[in-house]
Amino acid sequence: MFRAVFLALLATVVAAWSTVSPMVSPAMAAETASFENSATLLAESCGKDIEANCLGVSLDAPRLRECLSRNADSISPQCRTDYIKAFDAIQKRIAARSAVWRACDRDKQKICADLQGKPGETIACLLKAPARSLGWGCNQALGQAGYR
Amino acid sequence: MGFSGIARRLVPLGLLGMLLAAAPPAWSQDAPTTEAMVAALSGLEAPSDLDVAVLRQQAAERIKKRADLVALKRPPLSRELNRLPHIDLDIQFNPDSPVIRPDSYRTIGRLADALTTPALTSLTFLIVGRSDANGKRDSNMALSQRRAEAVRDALVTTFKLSSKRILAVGLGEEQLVDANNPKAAINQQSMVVTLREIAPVAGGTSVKPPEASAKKSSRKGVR
Repeated sequence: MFRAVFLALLATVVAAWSTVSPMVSPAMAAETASFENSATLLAESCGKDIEANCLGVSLDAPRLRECLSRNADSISPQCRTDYIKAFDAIQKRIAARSAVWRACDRDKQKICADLQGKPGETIACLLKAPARSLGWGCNQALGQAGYR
Repeated sequence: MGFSGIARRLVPLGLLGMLLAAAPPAWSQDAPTTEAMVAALSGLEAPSDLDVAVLRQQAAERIKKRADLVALKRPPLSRELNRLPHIDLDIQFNPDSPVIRPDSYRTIGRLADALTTPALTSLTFLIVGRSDANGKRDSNMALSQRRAEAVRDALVTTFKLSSKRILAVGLGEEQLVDANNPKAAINQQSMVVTLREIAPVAGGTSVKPPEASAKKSSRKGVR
């Protein structure tokens, strides 16, 4: 009887852990959206508006943004909210990626010193290192940049 | 209680399963995924010293001299391009214009994701614009040049890829995808080709390469 209760308790703990744990890491890191997702949001919410109002404008963030804001009265409400979201999300990912260099500077010199000047290899080296060997800030930055 | 414990354990698995099952329709499009792009563009065996200006000149000369006049079975201008790691992409442009249509934003976004993946960040790429063999050969080349530049510009202006990493060339109908059907639309596919490693960045906090070696490596393009 005691054993059954113990096993049930154990199962509950495991269940609770397995429910929570997959949510913990992404929630902590708050990963920024991929370029694909942001570009898709822009196309799906604003594709028609772009073709109708910004025909000569290619996928060029500053020019598209300018054109959509200039035509704010004629574009759909969905596009009006989503184009700002999409461009902001792209900016956030770019910022998150460049933040990695600052956040991981010390880790980089400690663990990946022989890869100076090779950005891709340096990131790959940081990702290969066990997370506990990196500083908290570096781990956060790698997560936000969408590298892990 | 034991049973409910097991049931509760299964719930997250069920949710995960639903997520996985729901994911494919959202991405379903013929365009290759980011992962497929990364796979196709990695694995450069030997760096290419391909010179974009020379390539452009060769294409222009071929057209001017009316060489390989018949489009059917016209040989590719550069066999090396096909030998290097590359991927063909369907990018939609407005008719007779280099403007990228919103239908293709997703593909460009995926390409930006792929080229900023650690496996590819230290490499230089060439965007090759191509056309089918309808219309005039020289205007096809000119339009494909502007379209290749538009793809490059999108990567640089919108996703802030370094302009040094992305080159662009338009080869018109001189690099047919399907030389047996030169008028087929498939020949309009753009091509992304892996060329070589970027010259190592001299910046950073430590190890600055001496002036001489930096010069040498930039002249050769690769180390």
